[in-house]
Amino acid sequence: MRKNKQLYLIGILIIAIIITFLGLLELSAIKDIFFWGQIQRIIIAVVAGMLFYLIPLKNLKSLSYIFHALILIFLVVVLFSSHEDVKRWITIGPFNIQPSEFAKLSLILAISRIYADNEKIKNSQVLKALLITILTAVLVLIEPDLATSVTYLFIFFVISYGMGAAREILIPLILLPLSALFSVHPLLVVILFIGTFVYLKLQNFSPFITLINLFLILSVSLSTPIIWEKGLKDYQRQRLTAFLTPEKYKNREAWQIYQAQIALGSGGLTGKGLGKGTQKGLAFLPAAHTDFIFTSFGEEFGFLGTSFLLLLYSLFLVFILKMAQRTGRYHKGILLGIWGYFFYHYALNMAANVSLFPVVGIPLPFMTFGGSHIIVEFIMLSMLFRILKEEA
Amino acid sequence: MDKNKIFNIGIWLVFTILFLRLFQIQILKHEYYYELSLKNYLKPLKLHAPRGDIYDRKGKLLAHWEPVFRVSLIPDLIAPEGLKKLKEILGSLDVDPETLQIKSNYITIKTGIPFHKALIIEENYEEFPSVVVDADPSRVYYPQFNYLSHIIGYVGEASQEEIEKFNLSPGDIVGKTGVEAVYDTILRGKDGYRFIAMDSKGAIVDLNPRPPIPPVKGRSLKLTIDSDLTHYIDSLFLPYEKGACVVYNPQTGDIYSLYSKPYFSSSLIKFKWGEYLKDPSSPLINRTIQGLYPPGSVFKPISALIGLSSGKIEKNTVFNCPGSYRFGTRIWKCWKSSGHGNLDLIQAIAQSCDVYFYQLGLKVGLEDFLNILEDFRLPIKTGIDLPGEYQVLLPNMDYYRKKYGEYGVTEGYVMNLSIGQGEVLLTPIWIAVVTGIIANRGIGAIPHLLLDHNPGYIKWDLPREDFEVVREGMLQVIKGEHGTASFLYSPQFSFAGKTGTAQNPHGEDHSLFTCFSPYENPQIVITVVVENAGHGSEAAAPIAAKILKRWYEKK
Repeated sequence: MRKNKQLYLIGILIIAIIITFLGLLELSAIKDIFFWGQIQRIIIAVVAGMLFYLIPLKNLKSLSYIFHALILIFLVVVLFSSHEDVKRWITIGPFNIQPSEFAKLSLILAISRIYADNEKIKNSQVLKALLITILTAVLVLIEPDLATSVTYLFIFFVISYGMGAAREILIPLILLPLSALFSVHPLLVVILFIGTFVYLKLQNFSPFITLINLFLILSVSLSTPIIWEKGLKDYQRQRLTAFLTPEKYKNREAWQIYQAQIALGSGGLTGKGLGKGTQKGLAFLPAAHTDFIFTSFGEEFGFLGTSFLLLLYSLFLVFILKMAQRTGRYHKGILLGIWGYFFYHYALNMAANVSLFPVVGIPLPFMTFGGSHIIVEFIMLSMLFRILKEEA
Repeated sequence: MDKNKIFNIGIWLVFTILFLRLFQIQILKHEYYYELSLKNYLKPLKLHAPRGDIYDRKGKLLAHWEPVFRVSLIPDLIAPEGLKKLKEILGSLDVDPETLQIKSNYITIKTGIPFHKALIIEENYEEFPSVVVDADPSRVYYPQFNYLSHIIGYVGEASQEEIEKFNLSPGDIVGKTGVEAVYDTILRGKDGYRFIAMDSKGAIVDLNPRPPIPPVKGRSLKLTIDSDLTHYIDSLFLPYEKGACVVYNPQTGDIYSLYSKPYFSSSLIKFKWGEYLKDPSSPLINRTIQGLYPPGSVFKPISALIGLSSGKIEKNTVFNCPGSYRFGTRIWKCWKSSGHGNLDLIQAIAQSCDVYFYQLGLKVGLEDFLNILEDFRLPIKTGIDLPGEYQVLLPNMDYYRKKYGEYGVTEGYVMNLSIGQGEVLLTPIWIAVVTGIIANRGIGAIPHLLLDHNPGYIKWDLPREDFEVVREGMLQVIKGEHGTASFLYSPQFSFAGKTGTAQNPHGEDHSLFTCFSPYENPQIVITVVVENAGHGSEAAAPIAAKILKRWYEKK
């Protein structure tokens, strides 16, 4: 088993290195300054990862709460330290640090700690984890950064589900976003309503639970359209729906998405070749180095390149799952959290790049230009090594 | 279910969705997006196509094109020394690049550069980065063919209306009138494009990212016009200020000459437009198709046909002309105050006897006269391939009732009408075509200017004998002892015609003459109108005879 896990870990490492390398390659094609900037950040990230590797998980476990509490303080500080509209970064020396990225890591550790001790998770533990998650999410929501705050909920959900939390608590958590999403059409709401009812009946849930969940569906799906109409401004609505028909809108976001489609589509099967992407090269594709690095990559490496990358991320996630089997509870929590992190980031970023989802500013792991998320990702990598080492 | 399995399903579900979406965008819709990406960065610069040439029927070049050179550059990309040298070559510039705010875009610094200077710049292109010399085709008309300007017309920049109608772009050249307008789609070629690559802010990143698409010259036209003949006609009109002349083949529809005086100059229209507009002699009006004249006695053959169709008049119906005719309280005069004596229909046409036609009209009656005229179904336009042909005015009963009231219409009007005065207004081209139809006993080709092109025929369904009577009358105009144009008789060729004098309330009468030749198989119709020149026999008829003579000589 351990030998297999070693192989999986090597696979994970190789994939991470390949993706990082492809990211650097693409950044170099966009602008030299991004390439060298990313090199610096990767060096810092590798050093941070190595330092983390030195910390025994036993110690990390005992420090989990303090670590997360510290990050929460940073998240509060962020809100007061910046006078800009969007408050996400703290400046320390030459660095702009984004505490909400580090919160993803500390939250994983904190939740794993909560679930670590009992073989069977109590509902009180789940609620405790949920409380911490919501606290973190709310702080980030104020920044405002909806997409990141949803990350926390997703990570919480993955760990809790994977560790065997009671379905009574998890089901409403799934129903919440589903009801909001399905409120676009009454028929969908009806299907969701009936489906939930049948499922809960078949699974022999108590009438009380059934009632609460059905009430949740109704209240959320009925209030969402009202919030949509009254609570959001025109430009906010456009921002969220622009990805559906980008060619129709003339605002910046829609233009960006439209240009991204042109960039990806014009790449074709084999792409235009490194550095020859006209869309990003002639600045038709803004944010080529951040939100749309995948698109930029796709223009130059084509469908072969993009589907290769897609496969790498998928295998990466499969291998992490393999490592999460038959391991200690604390380890398992961490591994599931890491899996949730990568799954959410890669899926949402790519979905936005192929205009299946609004552009919400979620970085593509190992590729998007940026420091904080790269450091977090390398620390996560090092933790995989530490976990395997301690399993021996 | 195993939780790991659920997670794995999640992974491969997302993989499948993204994979299919990428396949859709990058493979299935690749070409669509690829085209869009090209459009994104390639800016096409139009290279105007030269228009086709215009020739006369003998192959004489009437309208041509020549390149006008234009120099453009990107100010940012040219060094001060280069610019200085460029200024030395070109002299003063239309736009000095140094005065511009934005220097990263193409601008045209000078147009209308002579060929040799364009050549110097092209040869030393390495010294002038970004400089491009474009050749804009410019229409050339020859001043010696000014008398053809009404036919050829002229070109100009497309108006907003034309841009929308013909799907053009601003700055495109389009035919404004004449053949240039009618056959614009043939003459206009296919524009080409040169490309430059620009980024999203409009800055130029590549001057030659893709080979240019060369423009294709428009097709050339050959006209039915005989420019030499028209030149000759121009010389015949020298003594007169205003007039029109149509020379046309009623069997093929070919127009050998379509002459309108005064005329303008196609090559100078840009500069003299305002002057032409103000000119009281209206040189912009094409009198052959836009001049509405009372036909006078030229209408008498039609009156004769109405009389014959009514059944109340026959070939040998005789009326007496004592020099005037009394109707009601008024005395109606004949042009010949001494009178024509007893006349039959043929002699009435030949001698153009007014009194005969008064009686013809009265015998038919106004209402019948007008109804028969309407039944003839003569076209109100000949359908010549020129823009702006006016409709002729052939009155009917409704017209009279509207104009004079239900009870104001009296029989007296038919007397005026039967001698071509009053309510009839005709264009020279119409007179020519109807002359042709009569000459060919009921059929005449639609007149046209495009050679080797047959737009069809106009038919006039009447008994052949009726036409023969009128033809005989028109022959006697020339051949008869008392014919109004008997002084033109020539044994060399047979021709028949009709003189006319159109009363002009504004001044001297207009002189009209229409004729056809040869008598048996008519192949040419000549209609001449000379404004303010008195009797038809005095000015118009001699011109027609000379044209005819020349036509036979050159044949």
